[in-house]
Amino acid sequence: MKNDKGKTIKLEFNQLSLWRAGTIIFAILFILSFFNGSNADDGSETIDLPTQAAAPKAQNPVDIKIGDAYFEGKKNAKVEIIEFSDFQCPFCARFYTETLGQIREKYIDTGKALLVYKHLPLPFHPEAQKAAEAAECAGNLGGNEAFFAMHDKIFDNQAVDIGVGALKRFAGEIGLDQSKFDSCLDNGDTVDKINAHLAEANKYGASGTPTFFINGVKVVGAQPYAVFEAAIESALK
Amino acid sequence: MKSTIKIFLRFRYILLLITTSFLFFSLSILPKNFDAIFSLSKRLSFAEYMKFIIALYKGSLTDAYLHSTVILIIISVLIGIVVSLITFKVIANSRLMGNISKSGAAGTFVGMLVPVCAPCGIGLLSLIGIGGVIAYLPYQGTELGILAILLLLYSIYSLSKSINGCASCRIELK
Repeated sequence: MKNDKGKTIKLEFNQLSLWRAGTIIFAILFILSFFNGSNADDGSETIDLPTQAAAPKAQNPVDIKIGDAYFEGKKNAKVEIIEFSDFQCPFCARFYTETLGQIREKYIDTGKALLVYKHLPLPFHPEAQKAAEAAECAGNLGGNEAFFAMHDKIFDNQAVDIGVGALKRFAGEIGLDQSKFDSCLDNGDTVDKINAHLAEANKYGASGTPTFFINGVKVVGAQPYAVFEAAIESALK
Repeated sequence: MKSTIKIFLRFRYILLLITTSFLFFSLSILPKNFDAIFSLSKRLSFAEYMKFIIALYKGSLTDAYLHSTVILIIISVLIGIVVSLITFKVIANSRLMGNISKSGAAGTFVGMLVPVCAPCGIGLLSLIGIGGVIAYLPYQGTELGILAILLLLYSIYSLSKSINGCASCRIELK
């Protein structure tokens, strides 16, 4: 290029400079990615792949309504734990086997906390959708108690068999009307409700399972009990 | 290799290795819980908050497949080694060879992408919302972890070779 006086200016970039510049740019983008987030209002990916939801930026507690989801504990408990989960997710099962029992004993059974279960069946878990429908069908027939009885049955048997045949057998084992349950499951009566939970997960940036909102504060993953204890205790203050 | 090993007998480079490795490991597992980390910092006492943070680190064992966590730890250590070796070369005013820094940068980049647990949202790809894509790979992202390890090992080998293979100069370790 030429400067004002018509002299030719030669710009040279050596390989080292380019690599340094590229590294700095990448580092900036990497740091920015921690604070970048979007939700459905920004036109991000829809519920076809729930895990596509971009991680939201650190934000004030979100207000997720219980809606028509099934719950365990006293409805007016001070702490509300909303769990987005997948019945075929091994980490959701890990939370169930290693942590939920302690949370139930210390907080749910004592009336301090309420656990609300919402569905986030992941597309690469082929049996998750029907398992979610089975739990909803159980809830439709027997309320919260039946829902969580089915919930526990499914997670107890996740490593064995949670196919449609097994789900129908679980319904009989927990004392539900077999023909009504089978009809509900076969007809997909609860698909719309599960899709609504998926949309909600996408909206609030539940980017994996399990994802929890403890009085609106997001906790992601099958974390040790101490993580939940800290979050619940802070919400109780 | 002797010169390379001697580098890590120096406290500053061990410290740099440990710090970089820890930082990379932390940046891989903590970001998905930034919301809780920031929110609870205002509400918990220091002791309670430290217990919470330590529990999050322990969560890297419960919230991921064991092999994924092992791969992440290996990548973190290798990145620490690469950074330490590059730092040594820069301090020693050695010329930073393009091919070596390329494989180190590539290995670091791939290592950052690695979703230790694709459904659980660890790794840069999960942070930017496309971690689910990795779940469709045959081994759910473990392949990327292995690739990152190989790139970083090559980078370390190349760096060590350049440090040890200089025929006409001596590297003074201060």
